[in-house]
Amino acid sequence: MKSDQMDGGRSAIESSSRRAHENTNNEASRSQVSDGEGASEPFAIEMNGLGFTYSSGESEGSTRAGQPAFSLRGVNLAIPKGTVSVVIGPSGCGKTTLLRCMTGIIPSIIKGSLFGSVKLNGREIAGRGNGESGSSAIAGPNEISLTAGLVMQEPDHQIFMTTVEDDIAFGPENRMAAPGEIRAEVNACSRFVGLPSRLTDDPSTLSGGGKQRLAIAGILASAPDILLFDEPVGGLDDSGRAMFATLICELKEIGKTIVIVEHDYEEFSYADVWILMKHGEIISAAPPNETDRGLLEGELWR
Amino acid sequence: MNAGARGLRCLDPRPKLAMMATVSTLCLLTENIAFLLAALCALFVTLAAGRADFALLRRRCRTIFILIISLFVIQSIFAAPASKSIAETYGGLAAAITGGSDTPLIHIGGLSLLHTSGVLLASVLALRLLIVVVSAQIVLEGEVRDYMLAFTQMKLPYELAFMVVMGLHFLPILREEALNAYHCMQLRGVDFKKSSPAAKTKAYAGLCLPMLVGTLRRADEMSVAMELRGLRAMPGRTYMRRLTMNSVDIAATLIWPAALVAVFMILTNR
Ligand SMILES: Nc1ncnc2c1ncn2[C@@H]1O[C@H](COP(=O)(O)OP(=O)(O)O)[C@@H](O)[C@H]1O
Ligand SMILES: [Mg+2]
Repeated sequence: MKSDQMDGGRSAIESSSRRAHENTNNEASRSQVSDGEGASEPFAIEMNGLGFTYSSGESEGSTRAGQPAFSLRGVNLAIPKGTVSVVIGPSGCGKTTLLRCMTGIIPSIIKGSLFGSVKLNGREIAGRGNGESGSSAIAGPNEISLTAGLVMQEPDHQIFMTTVEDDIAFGPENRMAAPGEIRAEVNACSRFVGLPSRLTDDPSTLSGGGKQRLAIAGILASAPDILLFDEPVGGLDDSGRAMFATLICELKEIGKTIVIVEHDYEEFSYADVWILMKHGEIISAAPPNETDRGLLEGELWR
Repeated sequence: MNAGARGLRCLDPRPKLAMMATVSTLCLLTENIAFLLAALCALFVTLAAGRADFALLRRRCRTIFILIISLFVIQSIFAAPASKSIAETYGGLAAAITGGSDTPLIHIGGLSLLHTSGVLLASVLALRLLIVVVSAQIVLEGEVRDYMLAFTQMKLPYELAFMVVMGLHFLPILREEALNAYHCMQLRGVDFKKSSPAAKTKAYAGLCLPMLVGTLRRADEMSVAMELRGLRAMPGRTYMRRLTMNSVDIAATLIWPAALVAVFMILTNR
């Protein structure tokens, strides 16, 4: 059972890797037209002087008198391709906002004032790309999703089809994959996350953990180069967490770039980098064994 | 198509849509009582042969029963006497039953209420309403996702299919949000049960806004999630599944509507 599961997952991930590779070629030819940058770019994600303030609501910075209500400030980040990064920080420190900037939700859909620039695989997705003053969206989230996929915090909000299999197939269908290929991908991804017997069930009949697994399978089947997870193991039991750890290792093996936002950092000791965030700023980015334990266990959470 | 399904459930969505479209169009084209009865019979026979869920149909009919009865009463009382003859408008069957003349049925003083033609008109409306509800049951014997696929295979834009499906999807969400708002207001001390009718109306009106806001927020998040999975990122879209019509499906698409049209022609003398 276990090895069967793993095999299924591997073939899923390999086939998606193949398609992602084709996609990278498309991407490269596309970006050559726009700005001449190619696939030789070493960084999957680059953020330069990134700052963001939501145009509605209060945020972290507003508690400090006389300062603007920013959610992100002065974020400089360069995540090399094929690495696993874990973003750690107290609730409200801007982790979700950071992921939103990586997927184009900010500034395309959620409005606010954005400073600095964001690049995915060397291609600018937000910044001063069009020469106007102020930052703007250069690519829409749907186009960006071909490069970077996000599993959001709330599984209920990202499941919308009427059966489990249709929901997993949604991404590959949007990428115009061949029907046979989509079926193979759906079978493999559902087996990997442990939902192979629920394919024709209504997703609303799944448990919280089941929905979490489905949300993960949906992004896995979409096969982006960069996978972003916003608190993915919160609703999972022990076997779900083991599944997730295996998944991350296999994704890394085939060269995917992974960013995980999570509180329980200890279980991600296999990550390449731990990124510590506080009040919308990055205060440390280092391999787990070089991360300041005092900071991690005390200062960060105060 | 669906492994364990039987009867109407394993029929392709397209014949079912064809049946519903034909019967609901034809029943609007005539007031001929005999045809309307025949159409209703045809629907019941189809549902029975297709092993439809009659318990569900009964429940739905019960909820519109009050509507039908009140429409019937109002229509039959207020309808003006017909200008054309009963046989001409409602067909030979109606003429035979009523004796063919438009007579007032109730007199209060010198005022004649309720004419034969009023009762007939009300019957036509009630029958039409029933036909629509019963024919919808034929379509309901199937999966939402199959209709969505059928729409796209009929070359309708997939956005349209998604819109329909999202609409269906949001019905339970609307209910969930309403319950949410209801519980929140209860917790804040709003009493839905004991207060006066006026206070009650006010309390229920207070439900609308949070319910609407909650649903819109969900819709918003859902549309973001769809974008994040690459909706409209490419010029087109492919589909994992494809519906194929077998000989039974093709026969049902052609024969059922054709037979109903034939009955229509005969009974209405066209
Ligand atoms: N949609 C939004 N509108 C306004 N403010 C927001 C919105 N989302 C988050 N914020 C604010 O931005 C700050 C960072 O939030 P978030 O990125 O969600 O933090 P985390 O994911 O680390 O808990 C918080 O102070 C929060 O109140
Ligand atoms: Mg968050």
